[in-house]
Amino acid sequence: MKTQTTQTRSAFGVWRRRESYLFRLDLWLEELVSMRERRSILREIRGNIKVDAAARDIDTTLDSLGPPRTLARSFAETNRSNRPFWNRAIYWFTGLLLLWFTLSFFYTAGMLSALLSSGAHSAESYFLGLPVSAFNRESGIGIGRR
Amino acid sequence: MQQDAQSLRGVLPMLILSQLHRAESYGYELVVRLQDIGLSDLATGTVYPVLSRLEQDGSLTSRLVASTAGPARKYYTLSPAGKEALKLSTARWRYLVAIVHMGLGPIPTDEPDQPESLREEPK
Repeated sequence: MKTQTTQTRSAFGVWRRRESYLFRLDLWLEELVSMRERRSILREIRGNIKVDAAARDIDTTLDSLGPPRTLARSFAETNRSNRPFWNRAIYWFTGLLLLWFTLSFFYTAGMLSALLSSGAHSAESYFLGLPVSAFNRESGIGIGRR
Repeated sequence: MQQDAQSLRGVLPMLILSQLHRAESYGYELVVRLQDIGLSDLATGTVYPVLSRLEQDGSLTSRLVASTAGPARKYYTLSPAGKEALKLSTARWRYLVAIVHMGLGPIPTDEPDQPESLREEPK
């Protein structure tokens, strides 16, 4: 059944399967080996897949390589270094920044809403340890740090 | 008989060096050669990282050869350091096999072991 599927796979289908596999392999390699090693491994695996897929079908070729994560780890076992995971640090920083923006947006929106509904001219509060001041005057409404 | 993955992992670099000592080869062809000697379950994903490590270690050298049937192939061959590594690992392997062979008893059977006290003593 599998053979029938692969026999009818178009050149685009083969390319898509190969590049999808290499993309996932690249993602896993990214945090395990250096960029130079990563490029070298990807170049070699791409060549191997092309040669292998010319001898048999792309599905069997990729099945034989195993999951991208496992293959990346196999390569990393011998190339492992104690380099910092910069990408992971950037993802964490961006995530925390977005979280902070979201929380502060809802907090300030809540403060302004409370001011408007109560009719008070100003209010003072603390957000994550920072003193925050909100005002509702004839000139306008706003929020800022004291 | 299915091969034990852990045991295979231990001997695979030596087998790869040995095969490449006989004749240079590219990745997929090498996998086929290893499958032909009896490692029928061997996957390419097991062999390629070992090839990469052996090349990094300096045990293998490689060259790209253009192919009329597809993309250029990366042929691996043994370096002088690889020949030394093969000699050493082969000697170690044969020494280990001799010890294991001496230490191994007969293959256990399904018959229950008889306590020594019940065994018939020769007259």
